[in-house]
Amino acid sequence: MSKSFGIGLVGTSSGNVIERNIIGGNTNGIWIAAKASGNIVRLNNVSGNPATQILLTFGSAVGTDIHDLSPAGSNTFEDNLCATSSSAGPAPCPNIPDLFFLLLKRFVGP
Amino acid sequence: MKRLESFVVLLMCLCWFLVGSGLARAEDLSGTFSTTMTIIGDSQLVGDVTCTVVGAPCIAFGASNIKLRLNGFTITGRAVPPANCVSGSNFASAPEDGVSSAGQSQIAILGPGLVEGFGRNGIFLVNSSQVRVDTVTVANNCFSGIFLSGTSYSDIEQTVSVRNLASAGFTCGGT
Repeated sequence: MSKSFGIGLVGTSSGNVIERNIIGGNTNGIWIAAKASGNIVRLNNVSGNPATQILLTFGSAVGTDIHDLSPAGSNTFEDNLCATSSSAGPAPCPNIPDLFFLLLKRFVGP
Repeated sequence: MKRLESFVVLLMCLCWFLVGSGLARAEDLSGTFSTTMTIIGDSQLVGDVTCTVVGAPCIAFGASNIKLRLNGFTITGRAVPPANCVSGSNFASAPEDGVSSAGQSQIAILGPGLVEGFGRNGIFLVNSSQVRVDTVTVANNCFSGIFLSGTSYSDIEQTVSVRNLASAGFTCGGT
């Protein structure tokens, strides 16, 4: 288990909402453990996890912006701005949504 | 008269227990903490806090249904990553976190405010529920910024979590 991330849902963490956070320069950005379920991760800006120089030096195996170890469909990912991910389900990243749409959602709400 | 003296002595003992034991009810917090400050009522920072606590949390929630307001101030630990980081093998036994909750519910950590330089995590929430962390910045902690373990129905919103990575062997961060 990674113990190094910006925000992590470890063990059986469930029903949490991770939203509108800025997460960068950590080993992993958002870490979801295998048994974490029913969590919503939305409208976060998750980039540069790990930092670009670390990626260049050590490679992509070090970490990702969103690292999801849970079975596909266990957690919900919506409109996160991110570049790299590891996931059993549909990859939540890369996702660089239309800037106007993102800003509208960020200020008006989901 | 004797009853009054007994009451005063009792009151002094109570004050000593609350302050000396690191328990704080509805407390204004600032200054240097050398032992864990356990809050049992709504509390707020009224100045920066420096923690020299070794192997234990700086501020711990000791009750449910309470709030900690950072009011724009900073909670600084003794780690300057990678110096003073908890080792990976001591991760479970040395919970050197900035703010910690174990088994509490309906609590809140409200910013703006900064939690930085802790040997383990900035904010550690274990077996807790309905926790709100809002507008807090967690940076330069040795392991993770905000660590939820077995925690449910919580809202982590509008936080900034950066450069929490020294435990992985990297001494630099940023993007």
